[in-house]
Amino acid sequence: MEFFAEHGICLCAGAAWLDVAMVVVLCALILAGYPVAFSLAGVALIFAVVGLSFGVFDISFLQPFPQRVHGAVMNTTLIAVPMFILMGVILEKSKIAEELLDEMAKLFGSLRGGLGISVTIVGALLAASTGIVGATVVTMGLLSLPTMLRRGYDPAFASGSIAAAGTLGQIIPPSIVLILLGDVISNAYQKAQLEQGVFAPETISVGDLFAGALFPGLMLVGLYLLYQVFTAAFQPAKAPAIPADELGSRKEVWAVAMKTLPPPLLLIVAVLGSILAGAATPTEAASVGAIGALLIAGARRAPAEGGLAAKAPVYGATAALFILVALTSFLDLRLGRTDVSAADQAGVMLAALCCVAVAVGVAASLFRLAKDNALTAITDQTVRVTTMVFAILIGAAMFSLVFRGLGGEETVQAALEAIPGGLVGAVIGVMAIMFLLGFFLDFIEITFVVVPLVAPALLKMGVDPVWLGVMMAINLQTSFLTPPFGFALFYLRGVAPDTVKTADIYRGAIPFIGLQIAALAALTAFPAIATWLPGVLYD
Amino acid sequence: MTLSLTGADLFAMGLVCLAAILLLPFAALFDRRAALVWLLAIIDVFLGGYAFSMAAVDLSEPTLNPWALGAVLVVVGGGVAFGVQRVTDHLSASFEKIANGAGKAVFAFVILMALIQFSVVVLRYVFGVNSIAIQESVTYLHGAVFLLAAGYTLLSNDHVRVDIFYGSASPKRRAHIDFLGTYFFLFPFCLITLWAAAPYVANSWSVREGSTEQSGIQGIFLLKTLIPLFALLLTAAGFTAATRAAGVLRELDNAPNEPHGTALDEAGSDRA
Repeated sequence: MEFFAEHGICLCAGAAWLDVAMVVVLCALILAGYPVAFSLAGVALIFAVVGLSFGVFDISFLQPFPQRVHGAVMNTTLIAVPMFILMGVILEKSKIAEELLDEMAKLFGSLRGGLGISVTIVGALLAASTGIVGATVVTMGLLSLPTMLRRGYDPAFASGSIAAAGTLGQIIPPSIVLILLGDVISNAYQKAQLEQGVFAPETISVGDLFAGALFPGLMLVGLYLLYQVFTAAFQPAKAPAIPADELGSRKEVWAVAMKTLPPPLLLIVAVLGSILAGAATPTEAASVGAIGALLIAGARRAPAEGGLAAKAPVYGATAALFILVALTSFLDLRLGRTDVSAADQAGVMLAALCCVAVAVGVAASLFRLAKDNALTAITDQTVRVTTMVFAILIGAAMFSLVFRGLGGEETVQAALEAIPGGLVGAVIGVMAIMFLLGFFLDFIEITFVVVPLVAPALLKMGVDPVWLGVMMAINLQTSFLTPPFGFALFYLRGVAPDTVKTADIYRGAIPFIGLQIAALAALTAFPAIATWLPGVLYD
Repeated sequence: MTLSLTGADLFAMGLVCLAAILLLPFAALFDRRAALVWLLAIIDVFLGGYAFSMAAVDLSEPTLNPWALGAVLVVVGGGVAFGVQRVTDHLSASFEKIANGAGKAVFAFVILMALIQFSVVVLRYVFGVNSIAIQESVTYLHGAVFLLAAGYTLLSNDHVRVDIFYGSASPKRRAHIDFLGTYFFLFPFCLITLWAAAPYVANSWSVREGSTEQSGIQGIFLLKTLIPLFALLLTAAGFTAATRAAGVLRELDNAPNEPHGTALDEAGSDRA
């Protein structure tokens, strides 16, 4: 990287190369380890000053900056981000994730490869609820890796399964990065169409991207499971079964599983379903998810000795929610009408009662969490993660303003058009660059910095926006799994016991990288895997 | 030059003062060569002020006026009179309290956001009631969360770093990175944000900009004021971070040669 930095500085001699130099210097300086959000803005400002002194940059390019920040505040889609983070943090802090993993392991443990399968399934579920790679990998690494090793799993197979399952968080909706990516791609799509002279541009929404990512995500889960089943079948030594008598009776296991599994599952289905059905915006669904998570946590945290009475408010609230949904679908409860039938009137009364019950349940859950000192920890972490995400958005806004001022957009477009092979070449080129950037930038940074630069040019060339978004997501997910720099591997290394060698982790990831590449190839050959569902749902 | 004080002068004074204050941790780092550092600092402030005056579009002739000069002299004089390190440490402690206070103040907002948004959902889908003002209040909370907590998040070290090298770096190297990063990346960013936000927010205040909806919350000008606040809180947190890093560096520099005389070495000689 030093070499590139020197190279970048050499290139500064020609002021026309300032935009390229800016990106190269950013890549070099970002490795120093100062927070990315401010490195982005700082590097941009240094190059703005250099550009000013060369007379190739106009200071007025910086003036829209406050407007950009205000835009991030007013963006109604992005409001979903803090609420999804809240939902994920509640599920994590109230140990619901741990319980899920535990129960799954008991359910599948008696099969060969069963622990690996349970890790993949829980990874997909957790993913859907939090969408933060680091959190998922760390949680599962801490909880499952020791168990898998103790049960005689091959360290490489076990760590590969965990790292891969952790990255599923990005591709399976409703993930936070898909929301951010959806917002960025929809802006890029509008811009591309306006530049082509389409003044009534088509739009794509976060819902489109969620729908597009659903089947590819499930396909990946399927591929992972197939690989694990095959490994267990043909190399039983790598993934032995837990002797059935150690797990307790099947009946008990099922009884406990039936109690712990449905609530989080129901929550995820409700959130995702309402977005995909077009009934709710991601923001609305996220608030429902956060309140649902709060209720689940309230029920889990209720003292055991209190029995049913301690959980009554939460159960009451849950029941009330179901009644509300049922009432709304059978009766017309809208207020402010003139002639209201008796049935509707009774319905409104009942609905109002239900609302009170929900409020009581939510209040009880909040009280419960506050009493356990968990509420501050939850809000604290939510605030910090949210701020981290938006700080990068703000820093990237500064970066892109300066980059544009230095003529970067034209450079990117010219470069993409110059890649041999036309559209295919350009897509391959962009994917390769993003793959490499994925070694040292997280998904959020790439979404805010790289995607706005390359997406308009690609979309103008006629790429389908949903397909492009899904390809980018899977591509980055692969990058995070690839040794030696993959993020997921780093996180896992951080929590894995010393008996697991780094080489084991690297070796274990390789088969999963193969599966990822297979998925990318399948998507390239059959784009309909991504584009079919949004087409059916929204057209 | 006339001695009339305009709003632009006040703004320039504030900015220049801020720039001068920001140099304090820097000065505290080189305690023994404080005089030289201050000379450099003053030159830097003037250069910075000149750059601002060239750049400022809506603010006419803002910097090179007697008021700004006086303000710088007060800050510099104060620093010299009371001891650079003492002033820096005091400021750092209060700035830390301010940044952390703002961050902790928004803790409740994330829960509130979810509750209000959920109520909006219930009202809309069950009772068919829409309220623009309630929906907009979620936007206000959302903006307040990440704009007011940015400084707090900096101090709790939760802004993402690329830690391929940073993770395994020595404390000294980390302190160097944090210190230089604060001066080269964070402070310029904060100052430019203040500069760019000043006319933007001033315009919004002058018309008391409200919602585009009749029944919305008529407080967009307050929401926009969060942007300069964001920059100020981040600056305060950056000041504290730089002071911390400078403290680490000073300690590490002085550790090997204890007997010679700066303030920290005296503490060291107690041990010996």
